[in-house]
Amino acid sequence: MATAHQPAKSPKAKTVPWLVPATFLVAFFPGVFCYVLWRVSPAFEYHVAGPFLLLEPSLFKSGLKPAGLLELAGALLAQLNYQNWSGALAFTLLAVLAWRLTRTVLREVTACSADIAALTPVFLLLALRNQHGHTTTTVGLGLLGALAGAAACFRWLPHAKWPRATAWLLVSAAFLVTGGFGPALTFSALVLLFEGLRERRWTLGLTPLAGAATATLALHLFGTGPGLSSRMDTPLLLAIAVYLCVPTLALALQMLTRISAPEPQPSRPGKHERKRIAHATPPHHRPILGHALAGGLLVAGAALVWFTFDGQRKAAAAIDYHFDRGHFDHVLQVAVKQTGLDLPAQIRMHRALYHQGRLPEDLFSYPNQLGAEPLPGVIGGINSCRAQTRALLEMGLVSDAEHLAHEALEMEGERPDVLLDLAEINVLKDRPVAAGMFARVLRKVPFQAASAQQLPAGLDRDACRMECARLDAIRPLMVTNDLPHEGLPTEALLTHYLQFNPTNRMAFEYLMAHYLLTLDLRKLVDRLWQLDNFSYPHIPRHYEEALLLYQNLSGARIELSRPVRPETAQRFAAFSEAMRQKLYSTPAGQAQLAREFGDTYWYYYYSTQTYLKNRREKGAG
Amino acid sequence: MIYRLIAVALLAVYALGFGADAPGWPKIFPDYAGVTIPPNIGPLHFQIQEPGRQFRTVFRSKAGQPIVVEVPDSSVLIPQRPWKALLQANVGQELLIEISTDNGGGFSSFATITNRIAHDPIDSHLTYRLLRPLYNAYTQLGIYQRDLESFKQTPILENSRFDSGCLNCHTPLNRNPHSFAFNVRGLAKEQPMMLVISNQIARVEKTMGYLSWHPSGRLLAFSASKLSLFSHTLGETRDVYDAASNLGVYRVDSNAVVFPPTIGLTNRNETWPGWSADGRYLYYSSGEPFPLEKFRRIRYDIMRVRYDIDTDHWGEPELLVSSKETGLSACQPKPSPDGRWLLYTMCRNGNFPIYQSASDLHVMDLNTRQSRRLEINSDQADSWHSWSGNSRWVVFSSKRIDGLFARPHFSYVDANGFFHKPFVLAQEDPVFYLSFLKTFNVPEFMQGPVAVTQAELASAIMKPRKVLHPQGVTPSPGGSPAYSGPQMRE
Repeated sequence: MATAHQPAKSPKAKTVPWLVPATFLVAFFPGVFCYVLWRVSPAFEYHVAGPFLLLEPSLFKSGLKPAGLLELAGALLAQLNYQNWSGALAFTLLAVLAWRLTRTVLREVTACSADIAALTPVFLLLALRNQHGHTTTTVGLGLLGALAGAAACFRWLPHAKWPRATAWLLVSAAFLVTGGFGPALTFSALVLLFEGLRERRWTLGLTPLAGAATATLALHLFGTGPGLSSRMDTPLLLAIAVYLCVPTLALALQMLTRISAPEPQPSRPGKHERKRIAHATPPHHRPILGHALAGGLLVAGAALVWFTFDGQRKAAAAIDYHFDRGHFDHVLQVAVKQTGLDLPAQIRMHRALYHQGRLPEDLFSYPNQLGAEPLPGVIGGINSCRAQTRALLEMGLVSDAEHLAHEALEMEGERPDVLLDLAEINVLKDRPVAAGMFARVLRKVPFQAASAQQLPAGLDRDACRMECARLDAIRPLMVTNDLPHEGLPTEALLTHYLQFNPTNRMAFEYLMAHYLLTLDLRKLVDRLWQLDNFSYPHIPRHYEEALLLYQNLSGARIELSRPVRPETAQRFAAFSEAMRQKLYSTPAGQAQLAREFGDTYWYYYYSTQTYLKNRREKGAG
Repeated sequence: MIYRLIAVALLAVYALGFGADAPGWPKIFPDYAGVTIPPNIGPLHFQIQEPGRQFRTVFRSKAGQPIVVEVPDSSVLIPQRPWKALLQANVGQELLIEISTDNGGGFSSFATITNRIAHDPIDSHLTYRLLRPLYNAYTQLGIYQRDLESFKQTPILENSRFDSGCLNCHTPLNRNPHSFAFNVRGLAKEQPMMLVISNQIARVEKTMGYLSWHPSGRLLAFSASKLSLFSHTLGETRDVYDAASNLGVYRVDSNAVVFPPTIGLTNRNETWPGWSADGRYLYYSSGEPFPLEKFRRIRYDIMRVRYDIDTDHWGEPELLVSSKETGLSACQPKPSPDGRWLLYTMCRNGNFPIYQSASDLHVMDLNTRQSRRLEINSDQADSWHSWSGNSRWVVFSSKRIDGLFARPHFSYVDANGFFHKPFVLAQEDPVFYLSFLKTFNVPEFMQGPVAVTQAELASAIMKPRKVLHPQGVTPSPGGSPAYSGPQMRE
């Protein structure tokens, strides 16, 4: 892994100088690109976490705040995540530079050439890349800045003590002010190691730390302290690992070098000497140790990257992304592969099913949280508000859509989809100026000009009415009677709504889904007469299943204008038989039940009942 | 006769100041046409919303140098010093704004906009809370102060400084920036009131609602309410339900809380306290409680009760505005510092007018007890009003621009109690209000900038050095403790 500074002794030991880096570039970094492109999918991440910048003067003023410059640069670079290919390319370039600079710095500090070890920050950045948020670009740029600064200073600063001390102080303070603790820490640690290990000037090596500390104190005196922005969802340990990995590597290499080549190092190699060191051959003694460490590091790095990837999070992001674009078939393709969905993803899946005309037919062919309401309101968690807004808006419950959109605006900030929803809501609520305001802000978000273009300019009420033809589908559905309520009581709202607009199919299907998901069989059966208001070719499958179950449990006979299809009745008979045989009492039986009836309402019904019973017992215990 | 009527009507329109509708006036945003402005107000930047390639605006008055702003875009940004000089030189005079636009064939002029520079200055600072239209969740909000003579806005306290809690009901003592109070919510245990007296900060471990200082600084009237947010499916989405309210008094000088029975009737909900400037009356809203299902029947009267601070004696409540007579709910009574006027809001029901577009400002002449709906109201919510120290200016939050976000508007009140056409707080960017997604809440005048720092306030919340635990006391018929100036006890 590490190659100590050794004079080349035999012609056999000579290597082609550019071969190793070229191999990396050809084999490793395209792999990084493909990994980010296909596995991470930056566009999904951008859709979920942005950052959504508003291109206005105040954005650039934010760069003047402590650590603001780095954060701003990171946020700007993260805009490339809008497209998968550009996000992957930007990350790959960041990785190449991180590797190259790590190599250079390690060589300067330890006089070792460490091509494989220099990949450590790349692996850590990839692990960070697996997380959402623009942390990777910010931390990556912070690391690059610190490494580039250190490499430049090691090469070009004068050797004399005082000018050097002054430079260390100033540069580390500059890193702290522009980039925060991370880059300042990396830089200071590298200088300490360089001055201490190479030059034996430990005291001088401490000056950057003094510079950073002074800058911190000064910032606090002025009432502002550096730190990562609260908007960033930063995995702190990983970020610290990225910032400290190069100094740690330098220290480890130095120790390894001493083990493998204990003879003293020259104090500071000259230019030609450094060049020679860079291409020095591996030491002939203990080469296996180096290779083993290198191999181990590659395996460990790959494992770290592979196992820190959160597939469920990506699936949720993909569902969010496709949902926003109205690609409902894609939403369902992703959802069906999951064993479980979080609540926002489930809410999106329900709307996708509705739009595909499959909500009453295939709801239970997809994962559903047991007992979860289809429209839980704020109780479903603040992060589920955005997912519910569109469904409520489409149903005509504009005020409740407004409520949840504002919750989303408050919690998730000025996101394009929230701004668009609010603009449309205000058009529908006859507030054209407010609609224009949201459209105006939307126009400031990069890549959103086209979306904003569909909205009215805002100041003219009549123009607003005429321009928003696509909202005309919602206008006739809008609720016309007031129902004061607390929270989002789905059943009360939809029942009230269907009294005045009994042909709103979406409201009907959501109400039925609510009854299905909350196991309210009687109310569902009581509503089946309303099927005649809609043009269903037959009773939708899940309603048939609920009807059969209700009849079975209550002993009642329900006569409808349309009969239950024979295939549903036969399947119910099979299910009843399986239950009679208590198939659920063994794990194998449970698996069989899931395999044969997992897509039925009956299976959901009994699973939820068992779950609720267990929860009650646990609570009582 | 008919011509005379038309002439009178036109004159009335002009006198009311609705000048933007005057024929030939250019359309400008914000609407600064036909307004009366303070002599010490900062530049009123605006955008000319007329077509043109070049825009020339001349500000002139009787004395001093005219200001000429000629720009290729339609934003009129006025240099601060000449503006200040022009206003100072022409107090009490008209301020003329001549706008001409060039569409390629030379400048053509619009009718001159005539504003008036009042004799009476406005308090130098305005404080307000900035927040998004909130429902349940909140992340970023803060109380800010704005220098009205410039564009400088600084935070008094942002919630990012203390665990992102909630801040509300900032209330200065007689517009004094060194003595004020505000409430904090969202902390782990107690939801305290923060008390700043002569820049000394204390955390008072008592949850209070709407606040009003007795002018002596010895008492702080507060509401203790059980409020909840509910929603409508039609119209304005948000509404507030007051399940139970009462008024209490915090005695600053003795660190005691008292709930006088006179203003805490068990069969009424009392809220929105407001002391008169002489401290002899406490004005408040009082309404009959109803369950949430009957929220439309909840209407508040405006009452006042006499109080003698020397003897600590409360008089009998007096009905000033009856909801039975008006059919509306009256809230937020604010007496003017000169004791002549009582400004309040009327809304359909409940006690949270900013959530109702029908909310309007009303004024009562306390000499004659005659009330009237103000001429400055809009078809959107007009509420959260406050008086300047000289009783010549009011500031209020109005949603008139867009129907969603409240913006601070100022109106000049002349000696006859006529409220002049209001104008919105000016911003450096003339179209600021067309993309600023936060609402200006509870605007209050201050005579200067707040001196305590954010760090000091945040530290007093999170790591307080002075914590006051008020003692509950039964109101006695005797006098209150002798007063020795504003002070705090630990």
